[in-house]
Amino acid sequence: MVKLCGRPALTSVVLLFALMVFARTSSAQSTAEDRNAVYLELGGNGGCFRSITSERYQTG
Amino acid sequence: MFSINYEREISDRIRARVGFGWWTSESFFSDAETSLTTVPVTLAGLLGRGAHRLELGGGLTFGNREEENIPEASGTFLSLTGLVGYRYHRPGPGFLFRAGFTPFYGFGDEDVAYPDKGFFPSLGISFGYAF
Repeated sequence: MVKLCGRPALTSVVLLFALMVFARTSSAQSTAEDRNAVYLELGGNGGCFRSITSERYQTG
Repeated sequence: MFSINYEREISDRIRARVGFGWWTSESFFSDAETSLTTVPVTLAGLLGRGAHRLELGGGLTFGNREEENIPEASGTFLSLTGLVGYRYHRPGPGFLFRAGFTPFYGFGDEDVAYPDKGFFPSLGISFGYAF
């Protein structure tokens, strides 16, 4: 079993919010639309949920 | 595990993406920590029109695993990763939602490979902003 740390999640949300503010500012100054995106991904290609509960972490 | 991602249009139907993810977990039975950082780099094609589209793609996930007190299980890794998913985004700047199947194929040493050595199925969802 593992105990998860909440700090990365909070940091991710804060960083995403900062990126979105930057994105809105940039898009307001640009004529291009829908060319870029920023997003927060849970699991997916950047990480896997099972990896944090894997047997390899369940040893004391 | 969470990742922050930036995506850019390559052509009308092709998107490139780079991200950064990290996670720390702590064992219930000891103070040992496991830290993971990942950098996914993918290309994806969009099928369909309008707000609801199918996303197909793949790429590489680079990363580093640090197992406190287990140096042989620490190190860098490289995995192949794929994507088959749903994507919601109305044309123009606005909210973006993605959800899909994101399998991995981990290379390298069994103790370090991510998520594990060989094929590994996985899911993901994303929330963000397109501009």
